[in-house]
Amino acid sequence: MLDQLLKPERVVLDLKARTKEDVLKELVDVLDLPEDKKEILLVTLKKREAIGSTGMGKGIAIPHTRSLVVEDVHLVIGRSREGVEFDAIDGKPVHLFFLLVAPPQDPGTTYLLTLGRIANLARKLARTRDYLEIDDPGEFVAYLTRLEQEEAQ
Amino acid sequence: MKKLPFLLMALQDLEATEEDVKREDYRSIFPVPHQAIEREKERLRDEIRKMGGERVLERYERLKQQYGKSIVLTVGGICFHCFAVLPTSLEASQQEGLLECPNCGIFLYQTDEEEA
Ligand SMILES: [Zn+2]
Repeated sequence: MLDQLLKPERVVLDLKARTKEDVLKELVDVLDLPEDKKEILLVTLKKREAIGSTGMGKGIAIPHTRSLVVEDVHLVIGRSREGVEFDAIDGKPVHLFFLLVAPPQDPGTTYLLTLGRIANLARKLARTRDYLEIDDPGEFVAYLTRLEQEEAQ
Repeated sequence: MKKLPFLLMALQDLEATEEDVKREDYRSIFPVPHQAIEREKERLRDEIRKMGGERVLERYERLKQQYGKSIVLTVGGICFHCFAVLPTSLEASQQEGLLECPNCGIFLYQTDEEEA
């Protein structure tokens, strides 16, 4: 199910950002949206973080929101080998980010299902940390797809 | 300049998240306390009030009651709520570039790609 959203061009393997706000910005920047929509999305993502960090611990975060400015569900992946302080629940720096955005109305509930799939995947990823070793976005996507299918069994 | 519509959209999006947070499948991943959402919504409302948006907030609530939403995008010169064709030169009201649909009254946000 995630394979429809996972795209090499939506994977940033070396995030330049060093702060929470800059990470969100760098991830949003990957989306094909006009500047003002990016800005609106960023405002909303920051509000979502304000009600509780999406840093779920063990180096992984899933910043997400619904937003009027997107028409479909989008996923962007970012990795930082150095790690970024993200107010994660375990207080540890975050190395892997899954940015998930969805329109306000989403009759197929793709968004919430996807969020669940990513959370499952994150638990599995946290065990080995192999994701820190891969250097090619295409390979990264293939790795995640493989891992997700294992999960489904 | 477009700050007010940005804040209204953020408020509306946060209310959509509020609905998600009520769901068990969401709560099992991110157990967000209800008070945290209320607090952020109030913060947003305060920001809107500070910009002189008291009347805008009242209207926002009324539209939400009426339509289930208060602000939509204009897409191709059309109100994305009632699908009325909008006049080419929609006059911005005094509230910081906040537009209203002349047909259904909903708040409109015209994105940069439309203005180009
Ligand atoms: Zn209308």
